[in-house]
Amino acid sequence: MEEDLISKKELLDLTGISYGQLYRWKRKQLIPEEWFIRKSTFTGQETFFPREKMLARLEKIKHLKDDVSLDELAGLFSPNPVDVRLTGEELVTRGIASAMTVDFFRQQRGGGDAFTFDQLLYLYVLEQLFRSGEITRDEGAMLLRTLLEHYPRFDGANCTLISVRKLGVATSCLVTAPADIYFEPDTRIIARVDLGACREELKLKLC
Amino acid sequence: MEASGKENNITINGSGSITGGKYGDVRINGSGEINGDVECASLTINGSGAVKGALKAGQAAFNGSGTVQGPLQADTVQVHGAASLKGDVTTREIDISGAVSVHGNVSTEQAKCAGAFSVSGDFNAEKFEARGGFKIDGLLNAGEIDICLHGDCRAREIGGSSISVRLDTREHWGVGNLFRGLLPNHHHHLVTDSIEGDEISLENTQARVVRGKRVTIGPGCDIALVEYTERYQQDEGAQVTEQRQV
Repeated sequence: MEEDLISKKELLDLTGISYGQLYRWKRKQLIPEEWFIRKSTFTGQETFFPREKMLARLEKIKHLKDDVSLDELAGLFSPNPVDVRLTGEELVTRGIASAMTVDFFRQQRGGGDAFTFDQLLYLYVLEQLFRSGEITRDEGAMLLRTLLEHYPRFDGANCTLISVRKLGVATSCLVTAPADIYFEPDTRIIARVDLGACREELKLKLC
Repeated sequence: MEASGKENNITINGSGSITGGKYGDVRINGSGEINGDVECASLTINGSGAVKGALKAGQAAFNGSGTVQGPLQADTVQVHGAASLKGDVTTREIDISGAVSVHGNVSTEQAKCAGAFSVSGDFNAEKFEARGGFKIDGLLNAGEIDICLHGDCRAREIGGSSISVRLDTREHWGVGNLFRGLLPNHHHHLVTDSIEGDEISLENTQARVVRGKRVTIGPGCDIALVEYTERYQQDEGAQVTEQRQV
């Protein structure tokens, strides 16, 4: 599947940002290098971007840049975890997860009072899924095992958590994003979570 | 080799080598080698020096000839002699008055270049000032670009907020610029594929396309296409095949 691309010219028209801003945001690494796609056109080499991702990113930068410095924004979009430890109580007040999800996590994991960034991410993902009502507690436990076991292997690269169910039996996996993935007809996808996006949302909550 | 001993400062006079690690001020006055990655308050190379690894320093000064095999990270980098940097260069300020070749990307806040340099990747700066020749194989991306043409200047692409490329005519009246006077004006030029910015003013520039908000094309330019949004000016001595407001 070819990704829908947008030319630089159309992008600037649509968003109203200037060349100066675009190049500045590129320098500050607010826009990943791999989104700058050079292609030959009849007028020569031109730059294109993945349409959806780029428009969403610019919208976010425009929305946040007055409140947050560009360096902080760069930290927000970078895959690096924030050095943070929150107690269960703090993360409930910050709206990252409910007390119920925190208890659930503790039952599954045991463990201490404070949570690291990656653990916060797992909690945040579980909270979203429990809230949506798409998954049961048993499935939540399975998802959590998948995250704990495999998420660190991606080492910051974007990945998607996918959970499927067939004839009442659920399973889950982590795949590198973006990926096309197809299942047999009777399979139902019960959850598909973009962990890169969750990471950004979580960082915003930690700001 | 003589180690001056205090606070891990070290000076190599004559010829010698040290192993990598953490140091205070490191000076190489004769010919010296640092084997491995080094982290130091400052590195000064007055003779010939080689870092066979990564260099992390407060200040790095190359007065003779220096080589760094790995990435270079420093608050300030000064090159008055020659430097060959084999990895990415990340710094707050870089000042080049000798000759530098970088086999990677350069990222800095301020760049002042009066010598000659080549970069095999991108050159990123908030402020980029050049008075010498250069060759950038990737993108020159800077908030403010001020190029005073001197010899052959090349970049694959140029992007930024304000971009100014000019022949410094004042220099013809100066005493200190005999070399400049020996070359006819058209030998001082900038060649690039595309230039994109908000405020663009060019002289003696060859480009396929120039895109900007306010664009001024001065004498000696040869541009295939200019696209502008607000204002356009063109000198009689400029060649522009097509220009259009978009």
